Amino acid sequence: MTILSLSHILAFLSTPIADQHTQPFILAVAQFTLWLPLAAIGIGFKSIVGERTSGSIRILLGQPGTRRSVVFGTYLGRSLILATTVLFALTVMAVVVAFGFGTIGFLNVFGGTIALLLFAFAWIGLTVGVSSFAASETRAIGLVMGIYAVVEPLWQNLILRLFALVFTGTTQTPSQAAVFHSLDEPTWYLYVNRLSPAEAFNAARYYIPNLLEGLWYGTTVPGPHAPNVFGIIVLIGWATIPVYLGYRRFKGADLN
Amino acid sequence: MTAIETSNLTKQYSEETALDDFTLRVERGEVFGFLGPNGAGKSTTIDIFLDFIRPTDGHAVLADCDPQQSPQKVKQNIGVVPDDYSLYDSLTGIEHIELAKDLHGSDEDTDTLLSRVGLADAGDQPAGSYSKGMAQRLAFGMALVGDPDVLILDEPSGGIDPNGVQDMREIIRSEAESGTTIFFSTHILEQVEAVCDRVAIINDGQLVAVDTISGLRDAFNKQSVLTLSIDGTPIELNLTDLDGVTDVEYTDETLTVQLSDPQLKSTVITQVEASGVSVSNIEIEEASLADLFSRLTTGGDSK
Repeated sequence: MTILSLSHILAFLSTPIADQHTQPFILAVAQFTLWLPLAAIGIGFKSIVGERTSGSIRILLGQPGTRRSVVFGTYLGRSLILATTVLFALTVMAVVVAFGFGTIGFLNVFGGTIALLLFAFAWIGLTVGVSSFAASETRAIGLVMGIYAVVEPLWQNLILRLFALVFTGTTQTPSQAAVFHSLDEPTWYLYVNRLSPAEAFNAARYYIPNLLEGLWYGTTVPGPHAPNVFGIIVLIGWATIPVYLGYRRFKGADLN
Repeated sequence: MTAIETSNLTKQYSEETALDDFTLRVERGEVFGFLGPNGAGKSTTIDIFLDFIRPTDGHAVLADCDPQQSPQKVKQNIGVVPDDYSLYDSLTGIEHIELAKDLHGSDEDTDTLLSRVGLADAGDQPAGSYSKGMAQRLAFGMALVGDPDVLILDEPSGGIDPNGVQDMREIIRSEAESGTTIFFSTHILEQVEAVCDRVAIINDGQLVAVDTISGLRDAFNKQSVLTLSIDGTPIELNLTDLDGVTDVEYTDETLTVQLSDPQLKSTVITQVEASGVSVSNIEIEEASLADLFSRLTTGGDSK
């Protein structure tokens, strides 16, 4: 995972300077959008279902301890593993960016880190949730990769177009580029787009540092607020609802 | 304290009934054998005790608590070696015992527990390198953590060498002496004969019999079968009038008589000869607990 993050930093640094902008750290953090979910899936998808299929869960639950503590303890443990990895990669990235650009901006680093951790918890929550839900490893990996496909690679070109069809009657979606700073986009798009954890993260990695700067310097925070706050709630939702649903299913399951 | 009690316990899967209206009571301090062929419902029962699976109907009580209502309390008071478990390959024997101690909130000595199950020298090796017998010893060691009131062992001798079986019997005996109730399942009759106070026999999810070993033996050993080869058709023979003859069958010059009173054999032979046929051969088959059980375990014609 560290190697992955380093290779992405190098890739980022080798892109033309003109493409990098006044918030280099925030832009660099975007490198995580595609591969962090895969890291979370790697860390989390076997966490519960693997113990179930191997039978070690029967040794563990033969001892005092509840199914709830198994699921939420696993969620906590795997979150810590992912968060540690992410923080390590971010530290390396911050150093590289600081050297490369001479300046980095504390609030950008802090805000970007919060956004990235929210994104990480969203994915580890989803993955541990799926791992608790599924009765076999095949089903777990199928389910989590299916969700990944829907909210990441298929999101812009398929899912959003289907939503567009519902809201506008055409499959045309607004271009993605202007969304984060613009109020010009249709309201439905500002919200629906953020249902994907990746898009919610992409919005939050700008919004949270801007919010922090506004609070720090007492200046106005550029909007739109409501869709961005909605995006943060969506991330928290991904971090909590799947793991809760997975726990409910696991609680009622026969472990034989 | 109720050690173990099940009331009308039933587990219905979509296509089969794993456990059918199963009612059983195990007294405190008993060493109780749970005997049945593979697939009879032994593990289903034990899995319900541990809340691994939920009954369709009825309920269980272990150490005064219902495992479906308060699994945490039950598991605090019992120790268990389930079937189909696996250890954590990367954790050592010591770490497994420490895990069980943490979960029990117990401060027992890890080395003492390991040496009780004969793993004193292997405690620092990862469980992934253990043989099946060593793994079973470690699982047994984990079950002993927290000084359980009830010890539940699902096929404890599976994969264990004869030496290990002997060691395990010793531990079962010494636990029983300290007042622990022991409930273990097996498909091997000799194992229950060696250590059990009482035995339940289960087949096809139903309770077949519950008694002491000698009680079961008395009940089943009374049955005997008399097979007579004769040279004609007996007429005016009313053997079933005799008290103690349970069944009479005549085919191909062979007369088969089932007796619940072995003393009747000579009376039967005398009556057959008195009916005008001569007896050329006599075969006597004594039924036994072992016969009954082997009929069950081989899936033969159980009566």
